[in-house]
Amino acid sequence: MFSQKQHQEEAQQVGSQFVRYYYNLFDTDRQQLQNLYTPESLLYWHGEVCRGSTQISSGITNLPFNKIVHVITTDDHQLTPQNYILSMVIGQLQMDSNRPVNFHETFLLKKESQSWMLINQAFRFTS
Amino acid sequence: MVDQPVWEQIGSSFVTHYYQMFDSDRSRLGAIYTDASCLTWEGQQFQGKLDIVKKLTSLPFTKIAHSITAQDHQPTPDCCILSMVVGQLKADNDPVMGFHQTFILKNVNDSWVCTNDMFRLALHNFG
Repeated sequence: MFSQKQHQEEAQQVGSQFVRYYYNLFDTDRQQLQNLYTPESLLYWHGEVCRGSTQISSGITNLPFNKIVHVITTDDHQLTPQNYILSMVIGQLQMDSNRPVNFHETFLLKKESQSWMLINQAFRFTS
Repeated sequence: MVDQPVWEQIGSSFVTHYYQMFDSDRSRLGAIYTDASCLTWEGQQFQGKLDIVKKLTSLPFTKIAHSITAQDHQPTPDCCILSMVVGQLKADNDPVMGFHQTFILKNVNDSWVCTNDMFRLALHNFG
């Protein structure tokens, strides 16, 4: 049996890989993000509510910029009592040639079949 | 507000209560954590109510005041609540600083407790 510490370390590894994968996909081809969400996924984008992979993907794809770059400043990950992974990211992003802005984002991942799916997500600009 | 979803009411009451307790007497915060709770404070992880309260009470300031800039609360599939807070704090005579915090709340015996807590100051490496 794994100790609680080992479980937390695993959550740290999975969470860390996931957020980097997520932002890389967001920055290169954000339409592909649809595969990470389920019909029950919930995204709050700076206070606006989107539910389900179709609505979420459509919302993200239609964001009003061509180019975006995310840079992670810090990322923290924990295992929850139900074995979901909770991740909190603080970073900066730049849309097109606008000045970089700060953001705060939280993800909750749930394992379905063999894949980690994004079931809850909240994003806010902080500057 | 009557029309506010229940998870928003619970989440918002919780964070208000949390920061009030933190600001007035943080040794009392033990009541909102359990033995299975996990705190990540500025990247360091603490497991269980005792270690968490030990960390919070040993933080090197006497006086602290939090103010919430924005908060988001979402229901999760396992009937928990995911709360994300962006705010500002002032410790002793230090300048005001931004902070980010994420909580997962779970109902245990009719009482909402915090199973996961992540805190970061809003510091960015520019450039």
